Amino acid sequence: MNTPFPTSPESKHPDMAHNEVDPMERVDLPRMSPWVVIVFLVMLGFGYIGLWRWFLRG
Amino acid sequence: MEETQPSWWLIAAYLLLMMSIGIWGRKRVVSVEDMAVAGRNSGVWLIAFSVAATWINGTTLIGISALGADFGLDAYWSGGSFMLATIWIGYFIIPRLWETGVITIPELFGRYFGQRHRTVSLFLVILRDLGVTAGTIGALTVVTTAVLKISVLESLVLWLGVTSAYVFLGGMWAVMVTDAIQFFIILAGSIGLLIAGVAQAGGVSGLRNTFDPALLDIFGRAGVTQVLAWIVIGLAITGSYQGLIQRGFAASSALVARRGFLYGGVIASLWYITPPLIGMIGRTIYGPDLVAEDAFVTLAFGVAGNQFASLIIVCVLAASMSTLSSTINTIASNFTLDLYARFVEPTASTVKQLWVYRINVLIVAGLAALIYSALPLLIELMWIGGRIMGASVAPALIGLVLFPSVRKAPTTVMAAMLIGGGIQAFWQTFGAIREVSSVVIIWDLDPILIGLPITIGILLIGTHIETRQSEDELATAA
Repeated sequence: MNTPFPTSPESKHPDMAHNEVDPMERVDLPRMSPWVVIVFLVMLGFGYIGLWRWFLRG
Repeated sequence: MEETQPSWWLIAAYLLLMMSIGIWGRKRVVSVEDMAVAGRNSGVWLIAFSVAATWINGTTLIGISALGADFGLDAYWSGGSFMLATIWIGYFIIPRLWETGVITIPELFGRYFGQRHRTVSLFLVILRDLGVTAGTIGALTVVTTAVLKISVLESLVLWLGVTSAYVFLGGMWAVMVTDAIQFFIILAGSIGLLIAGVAQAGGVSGLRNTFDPALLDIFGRAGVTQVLAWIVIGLAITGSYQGLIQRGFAASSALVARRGFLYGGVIASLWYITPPLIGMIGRTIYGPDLVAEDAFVTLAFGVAGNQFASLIIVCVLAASMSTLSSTINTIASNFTLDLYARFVEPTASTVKQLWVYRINVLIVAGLAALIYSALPLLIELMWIGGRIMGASVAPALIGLVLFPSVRKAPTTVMAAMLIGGGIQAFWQTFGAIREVSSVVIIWDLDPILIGLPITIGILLIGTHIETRQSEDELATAA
């Protein structure tokens, strides 16, 4: 059920050279910076509220 | 409100539909993995609607409507930030977590850092999830005892009973399918109420003429720092919301998980303006004397006929039960995999594990009822548990996923979780409060703005020192 990935320092296989590839590294992170995307999403949120503000003010 | 006669037929039909999905789903469940993550075989849209429904509960409808009545458009951030964070974790975090093959967040910490990390993260995750479960059933009980004239005991037995029954039978599969149906019920009820409210207020032009302009300010009564805090809380809590993240684990691939979270996050982000608008319309129609937390129910019963009012009740039930089923299932997975499988019987057969899991579903439901009965103010406390988790487990988890160096720094991660969580708890106890509104506390400086930067600072500096030490030791040994 659980896939083994003995990369932990407390692993029984401290020799990192013989470990499997860390499963997280099978997925590349998107090229965009995560922190820039957070700022972008927050700006989008303000834009969305701004649209409602504009609509409700008439 | 007294004149409204809710349709028990509609409520019964809804409950029967939920139960029948549980009964139908029981044949799909043959292992703990089926119970916890639906056999890792779910598609994009099932995940998307399930993600959206999980984020909407009774507290959302009533609480954020109340915030809308008090704070206007600012109230969007108290929930909308969680939805934007859902898009973000779907893009950056969920696919990598999916690849690890874990079922629970503590299991992930255990695999990378050892059993002590698993135990600490388990405590912090459960602290939040049990609070949410008890808070959600509490909010639902407050509403249904008032509207349906049933006792507290009847409410707990009925709603928790039906929810835990379909989770007991169909596990995560039933949770996700019922979530998808519940999402459309929530959509119908809330959008219908919004339209009825606008009509009652004299249409859009009537509203424009009568809205209090302060309700339309971008940084109105809540102020810049509180809006910023709501944004930070949303990002932090979502980062380690296990009940949500497990939807990603239920996907058939990492790509499906990513797309499910993106679509669900976008849909929910757009929807989340609905409760603040309902609150603002309630305030406009009923004036300053309206108690903010009554805005949703007052508007629902003020503008709706009996059948529509019944749909609103079913909408509140659907919103609450979608969250309850998620948290009950996720805590049961913690009890089974992080406690029973580790400490009681690690070699239990598949059949026995499954039965233990199902019994844990019932135990969690009972615990939630007990906690709510003992501490009815837990609706407030669930945010405290959320903030503590958001300032401890969440940054550690995000660091673990984004930065390989953090995976080699077990002492730093432990220190960050303990010190960050501790400082957060301390500040929440002794921090200065500016205002206690009807549903939230407005702080001079929200505790999350203290706890989270400290945790991030510990992670940054500690990882740098710890990994450099390790490299030095390796170089010396060579």
